Amino acid sequence: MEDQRVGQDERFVTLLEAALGMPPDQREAFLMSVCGDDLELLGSLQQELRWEERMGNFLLDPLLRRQSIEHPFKPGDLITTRFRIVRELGEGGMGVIYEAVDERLDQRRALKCAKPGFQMRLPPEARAAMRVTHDNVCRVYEFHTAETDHGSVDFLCMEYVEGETLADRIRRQGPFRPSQAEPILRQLCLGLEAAHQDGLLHRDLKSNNVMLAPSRSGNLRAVIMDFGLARDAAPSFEAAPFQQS
Amino acid sequence: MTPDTKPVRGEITELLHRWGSGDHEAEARLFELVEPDLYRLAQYYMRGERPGHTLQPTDLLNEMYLKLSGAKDVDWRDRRHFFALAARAMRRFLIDYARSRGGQIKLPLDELTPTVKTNMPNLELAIAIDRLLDELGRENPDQCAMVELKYFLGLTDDEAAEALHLPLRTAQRRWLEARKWLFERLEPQEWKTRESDKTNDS
Repeated sequence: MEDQRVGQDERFVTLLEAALGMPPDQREAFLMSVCGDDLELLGSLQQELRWEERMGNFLLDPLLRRQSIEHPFKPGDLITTRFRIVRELGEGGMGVIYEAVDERLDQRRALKCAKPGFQMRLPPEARAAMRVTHDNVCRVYEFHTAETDHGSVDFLCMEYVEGETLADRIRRQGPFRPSQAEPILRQLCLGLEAAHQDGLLHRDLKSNNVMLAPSRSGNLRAVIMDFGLARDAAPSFEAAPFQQS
Repeated sequence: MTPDTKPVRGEITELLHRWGSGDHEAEARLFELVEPDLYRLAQYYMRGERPGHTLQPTDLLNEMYLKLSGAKDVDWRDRRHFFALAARAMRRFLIDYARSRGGQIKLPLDELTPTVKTNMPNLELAIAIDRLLDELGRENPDQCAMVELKYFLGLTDDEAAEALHLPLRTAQRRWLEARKWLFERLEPQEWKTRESDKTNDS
């Protein structure tokens, strides 16, 4: 009896969630096709959809809303007794990125923090990215968890690449001449080749994900950023009345 | 912590069991014990002294439970009771707080994060929900608990389901039913008007 009810809930909510994930004009047809001759289920799902429309986001916004982790650290903070935060560099799909100094090694680093929803769910690719050692791929050193008064914050410690993104450069100076573009393209290919040899796909290579760093020789060093993190950054479906963390 | 509010070893477990069987005295004592920590939790949400710190409410609740019980491990049955209790206490705490301020939580505005600001109009709604919840609790305790865990404590579906020891989909269905029950009893027209005001503000 109890099991049966649980099974019904499972089916009902799963179908409802699927229907709500579709454009409104396709929901009816979807429900008809999946319910078959179970007219009772069809009727209750149709009714539920009308309820959802009527209620909108009623109560979906908790009175106490979790803070989204926009800015877990501030300049001057010492993280895991090792990284001194210098400044915030920007925000990526996964979370905020900081410039920091590794005080143990006296090296500049970039720390990429995970948003709460991404806690402990770094994709395997992000771990694989630690294996890639190539001049044209941003180095990923370690994965850390900082214990703060307010909970734990996961972050990746990465190479700090000073420069501008390829996208910014094109915006600033216009298109490259072929002779300028060629060495950059060559470097990107070398970086990709190295990563592919380690079985790692970028999944989101674009001019925003390429840094151009001035090198000592005066040439530009092209560095591919965010290997394998692209899938993590895909927008999640937020309109549904359910939030599974 | 004053001696009064410090729990005796094993006390919290016993209180939770008594609370689970509807003992009101146990509830009063439990509220007293959890209040300082709940206040801390609410402040994190509301004031954002360090805006954006990751706050996992369940971590904080686990920590609270371990501290209060003096136990090394969390017994999931007790923890379940504890989450439900904490949600109930948080509901009362926030409602008292809002009521004492004439329906508004007035913290210095500069310190409020934008997220919290957008939640401000919800306080009147919260007071209305609170008034209805006891009745819902008598009809369907699980539905009432879902509202407390999700709306007042801000847990996700997964966390709330775990706290009530229900399968996820069952918990979600209880939540849908609870929302409908409350929606029907409130004045949707009025509420919708307020919602559209809110959209215009942002």
